[in-house]
This record gives sequence, C-alpha cells and structure tokens, in this order.
Amino acid sequence: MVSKIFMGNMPELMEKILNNLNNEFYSLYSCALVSRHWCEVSIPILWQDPFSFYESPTFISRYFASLNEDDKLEAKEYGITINFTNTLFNYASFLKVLNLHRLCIKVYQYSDKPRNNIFNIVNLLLKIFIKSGATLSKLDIRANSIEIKHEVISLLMENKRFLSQLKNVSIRLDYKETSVKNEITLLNILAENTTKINYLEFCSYSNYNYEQRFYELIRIIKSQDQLRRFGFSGQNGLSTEFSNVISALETHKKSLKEISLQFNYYYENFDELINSEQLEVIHLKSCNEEIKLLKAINSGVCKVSTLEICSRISENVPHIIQILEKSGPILQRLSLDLSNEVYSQYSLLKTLMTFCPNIIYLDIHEFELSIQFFKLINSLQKLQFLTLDWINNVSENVMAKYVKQFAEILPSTLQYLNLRTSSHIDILLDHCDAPLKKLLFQLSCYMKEMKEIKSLIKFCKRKKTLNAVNIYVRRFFCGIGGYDGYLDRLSRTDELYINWNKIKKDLEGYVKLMPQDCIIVNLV
Amino acid sequence: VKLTSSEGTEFIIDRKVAEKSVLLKNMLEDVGESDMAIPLPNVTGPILNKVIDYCTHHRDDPFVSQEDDSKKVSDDIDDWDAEFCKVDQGTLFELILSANYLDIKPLLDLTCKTVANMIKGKTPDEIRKTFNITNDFTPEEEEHVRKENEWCEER
Repeated sequence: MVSKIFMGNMPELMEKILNNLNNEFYSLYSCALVSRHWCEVSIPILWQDPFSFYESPTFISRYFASLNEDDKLEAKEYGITINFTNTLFNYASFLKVLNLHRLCIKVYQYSDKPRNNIFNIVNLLLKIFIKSGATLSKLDIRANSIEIKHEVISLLMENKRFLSQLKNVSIRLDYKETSVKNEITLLNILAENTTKINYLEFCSYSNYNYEQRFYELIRIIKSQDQLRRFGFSGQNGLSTEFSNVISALETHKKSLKEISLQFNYYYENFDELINSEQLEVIHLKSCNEEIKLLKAINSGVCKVSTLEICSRISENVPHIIQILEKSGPILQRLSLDLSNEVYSQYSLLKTLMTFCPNIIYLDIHEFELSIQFFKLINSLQKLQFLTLDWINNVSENVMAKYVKQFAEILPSTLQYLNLRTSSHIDILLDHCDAPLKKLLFQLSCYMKEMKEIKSLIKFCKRKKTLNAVNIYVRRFFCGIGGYDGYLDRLSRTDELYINWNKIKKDLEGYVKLMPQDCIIVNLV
Repeated sequence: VKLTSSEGTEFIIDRKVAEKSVLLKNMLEDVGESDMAIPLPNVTGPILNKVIDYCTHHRDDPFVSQEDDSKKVSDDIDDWDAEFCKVDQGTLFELILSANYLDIKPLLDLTCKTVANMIKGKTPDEIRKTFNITNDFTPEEEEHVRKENEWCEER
C-alpha cells in the first residue's frame, strides 16, 4: 500500500523528505520522473540552487524561455540561442540560493563569448530571477565578481519579495570606487526589505566611503528580528564605526549564538557582547589584538561547543587552553591553526585529552605526529571528522613508522578524513581500519607510480565504506589544481592530463571522485 | 505523565521524556500537574512505544527549535538512530506521521532522512517499485519533464 505521504495528501511532509536530497541532482531528477505528484514536489527543490551543480551548466538555457519579446531581442544580442519555449515550469521562480560569484563562473562556462557579454548575461539572468517571483533564502554577494546594472537595482526596489525571505546573507564589498554607489543602494535595499536574516556575514577591506557602508550595515543589523550568527572581516579605518556595529549587535544578544571575527582593533564594548550564555560558536581568525578577545571570552559566561582559532602568536596559547578547559565536555568541534611551537602544542593536547572528550570534529594545522598526538586521537572516542596536515620533519623511515602508527589508532567512529598533505598517503590507507566514508588527500603532480591510487583501491575493496573521494593535485611550487574541472580542461597532451585520466579510469567502479566543494566539511 | 494510544493502551513516562514532544510540552504547561491521561488518537500503541524509545534515548539532547539551522557536519545518521530506523516501510511512515503530529523535530528529521536515503541514487522505476507508486504521466508529459531536466543526468 502506498503511504498517504506520497499520495499528495501531505505535500509538506513529502517536501521535507525530498529536501534531504538537496543538491543530489540525479536523485531529484529521478523523483521528478516518478509520477505527476512527485514531479510537482521535486522540481522546485531541484531548481533551488542549480548553480551548485558541478557539471556543465546547460540548465541555464531553460531560464531564457520566460523572457518577454524585448528581453529575447536583448538575449539574441548577447549571442544566446533560445532553445526552450513554454517550459513546463517557471524554473526561475524556484531559485532560493544566489551566489553571484558562482553565477558568474557558471555563465562563463555556459557562454564562450567575451567577458563583457558574460556581464550582460549575468545581469539578464538577475532580471529574470527578480521578475519571476522567486524569494531567495540565501544570498552571497561578492561585489568584485560583477558590476550589477542600475536596471537590476531598480527592479530590486520594485520587487521587494525577492529579498524579503532572506535568512542567510554574505556581503563582500569591493575595492573599486566605481561600484560604491550601487553597493550602498544594495545595502540600503537589504536594510529596507529584510527582517528574517539569521546569518549575516560582512566583509569590507576598502576605505572608500566606509562611513556610509557601516551606516547601512548597522541598519541591516537593527532591521532583523533575530540575528543568530554574525561574521565580520575588515581592516582599515574601522575604529568608531565598528564599535557602533558591536553596539547594534547587542540588540541581538539574546539570540546571537555564533560570531566570526577577523579585524584589526579591539573595542571595549566587545566584552559586553561576548559575555552571553547564548553564545556557543566562536571563530577568531588572525585578529591583531586577539589576546584581548581571548581574555574577554575567558572572563565571560559563554561555554563554546564550536571553536575555531587561527593565531600565530604563541603567547595566546595559555588563553586558548583556558577556553578549552572552561568549555570542557561541551566542546564538540574544534579547529586550530596555531604556531607550531611544540611545547605549547603538547600542553594543548594534554588539555584536550583531559577536558574535552566529546569532540566529534577536529581540524589541526601543521602538527607533528607524536606519541602525545596519538594518545589524543586514541582518547577521542566520538571523533567522526578529522582534518590535518602533519609536519614532515623527520627521516623518511621514521615518518613512515609514525604514519603507520597513526593509521592504526584512528577510531572506529571516524567517517571523514581530510589530509592536507601528499606525504605517505599509501601507508596510511594500507593500515587504516576506520570505516571512512569520505576522504580528501593531495597528490604531487609527479604521480608516476600511482602507489597512492593502488592503496586507495585496496582500501575500497577491504573496507567497502568509502563513497566519495577528492584528490587535490599540486602543480609546481605554488600553483595548485584540484579536481574541480581544472585538470579536465588541460591540453590532452599534457602529462598531468594523461595521468589524471588514468587515475579516473582506475578508480571507476570503486569510489566516486568528487569536487572539493561537494565533500569538504568546514566549520563555517 | 500518562498517555493513551489510539486503541486505549496506557503508557506512563517521565515528564522530561514527554517534553521532547512540543505538543505534549505545551499541553503539560497549559494543564499543569494532573493525573489525567493525555489521549493521542492519531498514534497507535506500537508506534507510541517506538516514539517513547526514541525520546528516552535522546532525553538529554539539547532542544532543537524549528528555526534552528544549527551546524550539521554530516548528513549521516548515528548508529543508534540507524538501528532504530530499521523497521518495515509502514512503521517508518507511521513514525513520520507521529513525529509530525507530536511535533518532535529530531525524530521527524531522522525518519525523513531515512526515507530520503532509500531514494538516493535510484532510477525513477526503482523508486516506483520501492514505494509502490503508479506512473500517471502520459508518455509526452514524461518526455517533456525529462527533456527540460536532462542536464541532471551528467554525473
């Protein structure tokens, strides 16, 4: 018997089920072909965020079907051939996630026309989305991605619905003086038309007209009902204005659970903001006066479940240790990018072992593999996600021994391993017994022997748990290419292209190769 | 707290366990202390038993609000929950309906995710067979949907 959930009686429950397949494009496509009712529920989900589809963006042509005659002429000027007329659905109206940077990349992949044309096509698509009746839930604006035309801004002012349901907004402002006017207008529109944003990230490194930008940012903050997460990064000329931003945030002190900060100065009113029992997630990235921030966290009442700290100053370590001790068993996710001063790390490891047994996510940068580190990993009985890059500063034999030992102690709870290194991957895979589901590692472009790939296949056969792998291929000294389509676009005679294709062929049937974006697990 | 299932079977559970359900929590707050059993006409005894198992196991988990878009680091389901969901399809759908009625968000999320995992990677025909769905498309309609969405086939 068919459940009434799938018969059309309870569309909200079916939608809830299928929402779990968000970005599983193939599965949602299958759902759309099951029956009429399944089609009606799955198509809007399939088209919520199509620009995250990592293959060729041929879907873009479906959007042009909804153009009126004038816009069709405009599209033809940009070299667009309109293949689809009278589509079954108004696909543009389903858009929920708009990332301007990603949109530009996809249009670039879709059109082989000059850059100016890409600018025109992106603006044309924005017009289609705004006019379609879509209501965004997530918006990511990097102003330097593309200049937004004035007519798009005007449309935004007329179609208030488009931004009215936004929950997640990231704004990264431009350095260029020329785009400031549009940026300020855009911020103004956001302040006027949004009340439901719960995650706001703001990034501004430009000095130009910053007073006006901060004025609008403060208006956006004050317009929201309940801000839960706030992220800020900026650099220059932020003294008084940023202090006012912190004051504005204090109106959300009862709801604010997460803050992410990267800036130059410390402000006295920060102490008050951070002294909150609600606050449970803190990200601090290379703030100039971070010791004051750390002291403020330690003197406040908050206990964190997620902590991310990037600090190169070893004097900060005792304060970080104090936060770890204070958070204790509440701490579940930790990312540390610290100076590699060994003594400090040892004391950190000891603290983690003693006070923080409930860590499920651990990301450690530039660590030495050591007995103490092995003891820590052994003690984390709930660890599911591990990211690290180890320092390779001992002899080859000793390093091989360490990696083998490390592989053998990985806990049976571990399902995700992200190795930001290409060193001794084969040894690790040969000795790892953890039931990994997702694995990321690096390869040198001189991948002649492919011993890592042989070990990966052996691991897949032995454990049968791995379902996604990302391989990041290092090229030259600083140039790095990952599996994000870059390697596939190399010349067919390029040795790297040939090797890469051999890897893809060898892995077929064992594990799925995925772009980094699709499997990486970050704290933000 | 006393609960009565649709067939009239009575269950006695701790208030903390009952309060995993927003519906029951609100009722208890409205009514205050009372010996009266709360009737749950939409939930059968065996399903209520499973729901109580779930709420008892997760009694100390932090409360997750409807708006809480809290940090999920994985789509995966933990071992206890996976074992809990190893039930026949009818029971799984009854659990979804009960979690929805009783307003137990984590249980609703878990059971919906379990059904989604049953769909993942399947062809339309496999999905129809799994859930006993009839294809009511005309061949032309089906072809139209296929053509407009065939970009998803590139994987």
